[in-house]
Amino acid sequence: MKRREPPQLATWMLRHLTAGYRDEAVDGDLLEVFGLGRSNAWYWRQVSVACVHSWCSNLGARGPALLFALLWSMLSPAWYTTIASIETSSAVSRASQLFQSIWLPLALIGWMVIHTAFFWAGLLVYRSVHSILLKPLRQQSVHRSFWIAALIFPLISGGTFMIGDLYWYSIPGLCQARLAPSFVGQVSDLSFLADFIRFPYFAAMLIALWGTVHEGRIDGVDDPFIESTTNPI
Amino acid sequence: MSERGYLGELELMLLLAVIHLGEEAYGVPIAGELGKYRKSEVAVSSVYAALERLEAKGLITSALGDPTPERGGKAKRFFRITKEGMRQVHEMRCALTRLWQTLPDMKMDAPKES
Repeated sequence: MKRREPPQLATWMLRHLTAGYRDEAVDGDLLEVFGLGRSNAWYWRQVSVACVHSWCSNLGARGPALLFALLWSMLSPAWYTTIASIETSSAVSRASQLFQSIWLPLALIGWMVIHTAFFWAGLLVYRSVHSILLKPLRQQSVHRSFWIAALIFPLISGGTFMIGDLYWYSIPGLCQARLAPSFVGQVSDLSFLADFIRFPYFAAMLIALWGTVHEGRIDGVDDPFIESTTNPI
Repeated sequence: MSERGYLGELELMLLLAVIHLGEEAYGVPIAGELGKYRKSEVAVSSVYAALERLEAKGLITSALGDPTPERGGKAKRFFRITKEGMRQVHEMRCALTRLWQTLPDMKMDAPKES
């Protein structure tokens, strides 16, 4: 007798649209029950629940990372203003004339160092707060997050500002927009310009912290099993 | 009392199902047992989500079995209760038993509305 196959699209969704780590056991369990005569509608319902569950638990597990990325990126307009004031200072102007031939690579290196410092300071704060309030993060994933932040930010920042330059004059009032002069004003500013500045910082911090949440299972780890399979209560 | 507090209803049901099923405690029969306790169908993926939380708390542990053809070559994930899980189940049972013992005999019929 030919074996019934579940809806292919649902199986594809189960394999590709569920978030985070998932092993094959769920696929197998659904196939097993479906093979016992369950309907296509049942299979679709199970797959939908699996997708929703995986995304909820995935985001739930990353709640602290999401919150921290949001809070840290709130500081970025102030950081951005500080960098802008350094860039326009007379000392930098003199340096640019002095090292005119190698100014572009020097400026790029300086830009990278300054932004990397912002992210690394944030990651250090996150690691400390996480250790105190939740549990210590794995050293390896923290190290990785430091490098991810440093490497991903130039890409996101470049992309964001490229798009920004294209639409700068088509969004009413954006080219005349200015950040508030004070630190508190810049941090609490929720205008489009401030959020536009925040976006690459938020995205890069979130991507860097994403991998610090450990999801995978480790098979074969020695755990203290209860030896008897009979009811021991 | 444990620092983590008592088990929730779903957690307790899952742990009891895992104990009851013994060597055969994997997703499908656990969902079936839970469905019997709750008198309604339970999605297999919901069971896995709850089991993963229990595993993260160290109350159960799991290991992949061998792939089987009727499951499209996919392995089963077998769950077993840990000593800590068993301790918490036992603690919960004692607490509930003590609570029941303080109550007078009750009839299970719902009171009739006048």
